[in-house]
Amino acid sequence: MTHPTADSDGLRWQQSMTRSLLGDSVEYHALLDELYGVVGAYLRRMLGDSPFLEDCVQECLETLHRNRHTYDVRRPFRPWFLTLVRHKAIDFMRRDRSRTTSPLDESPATKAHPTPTPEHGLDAATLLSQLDPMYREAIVLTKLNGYTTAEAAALVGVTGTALRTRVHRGLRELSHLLEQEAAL
Amino acid sequence: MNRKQFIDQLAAEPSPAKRLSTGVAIALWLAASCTFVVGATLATGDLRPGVGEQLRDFPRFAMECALGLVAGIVVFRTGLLLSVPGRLRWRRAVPLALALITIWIGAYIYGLWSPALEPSMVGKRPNCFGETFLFSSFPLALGLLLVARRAPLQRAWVGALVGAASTSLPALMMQLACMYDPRHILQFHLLPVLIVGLVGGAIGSLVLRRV
Repeated sequence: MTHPTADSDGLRWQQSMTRSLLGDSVEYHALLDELYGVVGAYLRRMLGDSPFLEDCVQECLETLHRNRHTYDVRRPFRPWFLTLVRHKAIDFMRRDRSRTTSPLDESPATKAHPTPTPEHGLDAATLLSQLDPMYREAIVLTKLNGYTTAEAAALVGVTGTALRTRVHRGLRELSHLLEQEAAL
Repeated sequence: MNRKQFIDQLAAEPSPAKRLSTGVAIALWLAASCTFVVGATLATGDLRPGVGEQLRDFPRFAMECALGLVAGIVVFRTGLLLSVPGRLRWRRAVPLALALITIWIGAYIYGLWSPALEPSMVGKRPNCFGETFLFSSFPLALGLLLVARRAPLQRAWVGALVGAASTSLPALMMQLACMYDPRHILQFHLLPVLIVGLVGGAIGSLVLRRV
């Protein structure tokens, strides 16, 4: 069952988006401002306190803005909005590794003393905590803590291929969890 | 860029052009594609002699044709709706669309043992296989253009659905213009539906923009 607040928010957003699409830029500004906070909270729950959270929020809103013409004003706003945010978040996580392993970001100190636990910085209530521990560990090591596949595989004690498979399956499971969440 | 600057910048852009509704897009695709396919088929040969009577007198044959048309429209509609974020659940919509195509093909597989019409070489077109591919090019291009105006998240699946739907129209037309024999139909008219479906998936993932 949908939460009453979520229902009323969804309805308000739907009306706001309808007016925005008719050219009301003040309304659109207010809507984007509100959604900025909503997307931020949603992604924080999903990714924990990632240093790239702000980038991801802006990327999600930019995608939403670029594709706003696809929103059908007769239909609920939330499924459309959450599907785009979820899609971008997963996309962002896939690309995130290259950013987290950028040579400029890697000081020798952080390399020599990596974060002690893979779950560092994650709230127990995040969606990641619902993943199979094997997949969660692979995602946290490579996507959040910035290890290369080879480094993460050595830490976990599996081959690089096995680790890549775990990351891939973990992201797929995460996508399913997000879909279920969006359906609520 | 900070939050305020970012939102100011987005909100300052003018409103986007309105998109075509799904109903209008389907009607446009169907009307233009049917015009092209029928025109191209008639330009390259005649309909099978007696096909009108066959449609009237053999309900199962008429049903096979109707099933093909419905499958094509439903599959295209699924591809179109999948191009709107959050509009359809992929796991429900795609199997349903594929099931319709399967039932359509299944009707001809059943026809191998019990054909709807007496198999005959009457009306055989020498190049029906190639023509089915060729005549699907316009519906495929138009279909991809229509979904590209939306925001397809599963680009390969959307391309595959548009590809299969696009080939179902010339395949259906060949049922009226070429010889009737379930084995021939499966091999030369319906196999292209599957092949263009696969090709459409590859094209979709390559040419449709990443959301």
